[in-house]
Amino acid sequence: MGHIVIADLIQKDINNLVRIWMDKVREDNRIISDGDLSDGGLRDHVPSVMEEICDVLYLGEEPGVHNTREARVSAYTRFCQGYRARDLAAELSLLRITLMDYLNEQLLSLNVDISLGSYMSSLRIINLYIDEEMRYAFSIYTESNSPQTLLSVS
Amino acid sequence: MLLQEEFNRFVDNYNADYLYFLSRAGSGNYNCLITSSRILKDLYDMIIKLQQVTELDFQIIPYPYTLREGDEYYSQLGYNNEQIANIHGFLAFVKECYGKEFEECMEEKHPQLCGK
Repeated sequence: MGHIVIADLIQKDINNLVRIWMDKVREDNRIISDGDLSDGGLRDHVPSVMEEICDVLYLGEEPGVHNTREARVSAYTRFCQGYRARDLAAELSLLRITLMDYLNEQLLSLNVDISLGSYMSSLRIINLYIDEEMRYAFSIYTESNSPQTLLSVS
Repeated sequence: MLLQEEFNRFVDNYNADYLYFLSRAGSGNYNCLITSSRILKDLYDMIIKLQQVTELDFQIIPYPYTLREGDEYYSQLGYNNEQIANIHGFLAFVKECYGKEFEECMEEKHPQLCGK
């Protein structure tokens, strides 16, 4: 039940969350790979990633191979865009922080009926999901024989 | 036990199948493409699962199984504007035929297959 409450909170505000995350990425001086990306290129699959996080929460599933497809698409696209691995890691960290800050704010300001246990369980799912994307990103960045292909994004 | 070289070949074959699938979508001929897409999806899922279980390396990266990439991505793969429009058109075709998004069709337990 708690997972559904958290998923609903994210789902209803995905566009706003993506915008907040994009602002954080642009402002983060550690990340330089985004410099060549338009807003569309930066935004890319992130809305789909958030939708997928909601799907996993709605089902109360543990993130794994079968329910993190958009995460892999997102990591692969960044690899093809010539992103530095460290910049992708920083982006994902900001995604995690964006979601957690938003949820904390929502739960404190709204009268949402959710137990601490359910909330912690939902955060665990979100963290594991983002870790799955990071894990896959490390795989393709470190194991691949293929050179990164620079995609020009307008 | 699956060797790294064998796994690389497996991924290579999947990548070739994925590009062929895109080419078919790009031609605008969507006949039985929904069936092919389901088989391709299962193959992709198997590759990902295999990599996880065997801990072999992604020395060759499998193309992610998606039809939601942008024009510049497909252009980079060598498709022209008409082909790219047809690839996007396949998604609309699926929505019209089956009343649901392509990804929803792929997730169905009893997949929609083309008729004989």
